[in-house]
Amino acid sequence: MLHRLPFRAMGGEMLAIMEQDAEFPSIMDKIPGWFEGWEQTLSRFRPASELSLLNQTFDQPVEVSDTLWDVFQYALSAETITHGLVTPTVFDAMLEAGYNQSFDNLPRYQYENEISGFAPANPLSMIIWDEKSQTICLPQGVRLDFGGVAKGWAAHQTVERLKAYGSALMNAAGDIAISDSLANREPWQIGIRNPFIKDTDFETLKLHRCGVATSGRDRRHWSQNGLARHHIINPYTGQPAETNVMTVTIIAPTVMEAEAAAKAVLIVGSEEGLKWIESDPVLAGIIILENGLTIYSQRIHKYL
Amino acid sequence: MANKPTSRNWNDIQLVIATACMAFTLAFWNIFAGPDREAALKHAQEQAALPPAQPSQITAPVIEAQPVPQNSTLPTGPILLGGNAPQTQIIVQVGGGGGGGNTGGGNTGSTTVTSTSSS
Repeated sequence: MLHRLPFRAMGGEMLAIMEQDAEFPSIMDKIPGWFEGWEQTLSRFRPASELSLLNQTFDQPVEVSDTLWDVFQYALSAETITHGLVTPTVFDAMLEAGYNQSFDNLPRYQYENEISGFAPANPLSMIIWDEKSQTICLPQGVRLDFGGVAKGWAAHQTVERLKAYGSALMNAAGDIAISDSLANREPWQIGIRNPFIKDTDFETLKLHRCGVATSGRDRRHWSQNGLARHHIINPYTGQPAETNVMTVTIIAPTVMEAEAAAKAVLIVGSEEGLKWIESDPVLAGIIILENGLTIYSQRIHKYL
Repeated sequence: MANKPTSRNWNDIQLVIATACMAFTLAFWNIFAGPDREAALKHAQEQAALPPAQPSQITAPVIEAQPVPQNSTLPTGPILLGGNAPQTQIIVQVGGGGGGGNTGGGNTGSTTVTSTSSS
């Protein structure tokens, strides 16, 4: 039977599911504590988090924890595979766009912000890091925001820890990691939310061991001095991405890859995004445009 | 010297005439439109009870110019006040490539364990 544990963390709704015939697995009780620890390390909204302290130290190497180092390495991978479209150096662009506090507390209509102007985000190559000493040295003015990479990483870590006890699924605010098939070799059935109709799925995916993530501008959006803003920043412009895509759902071997790919497709738009999905044999996706048209990649039929 | 009479009285007369015109318009409207209201409501309920059309699968958006029908399908008879305004219906269409799966705007989540959405 499936045991479910919903909880709230990282500014979103979390859901852990484990398949086990026995009673509720005690290991699941530890999951919220894991997320609390990761959030205390990786959140840019907590002034005392390890990331916030790192973001205040420039031009000198800072030794970081295993967690922050690991997420930083995944951020490097994400930047590489997306050709710089997904990078944690969009911290200041996020602030400029008005996303300066947890979204739960963020005013949806902002009028008094002094906008100093958008600038392209700095590439991660500006940052000096050393694997041996596990240190990161941020140049003056460069700060990090791991955003969705951290959520995907946390979901992945969770199922890695749970899989010894049974097949597991971790949904971290839409970023889903799956450790294995169900015990009867059946796939997990995962819905894709319809961005136009609240609390409604429009498609069902049948998934075994993999990661799936959705990126979109249907939820985290606000108005800044009368201009529509959302949280997906195009690092080449430093502004919220101008795109015809409303949401993108990507299936990939890991949830970190899926999350990075989904964000990249949303930034470049449906035409280039679809070409990019089709060019990578490990990716499959569904793109929903702002006019309601839905585009299925060729490989997605394996999961329907 | 006596003050020149103000135009206030004429304004009052204008107001009375305008009010009377509006009252007569509404009264006549309801007199002539009233008998057809029941039939129109019944017709509207019958229309609403029909099952909605299923969204069709398309491979690419196609826009074709439609010929203007000879016989206009515009509703005839009196225009009734009240009732619900037409609602915009958003249909999530299916593009090319996927082929299959559940489509349309309905909730297909009866067997799903969770859903992915933008975070």
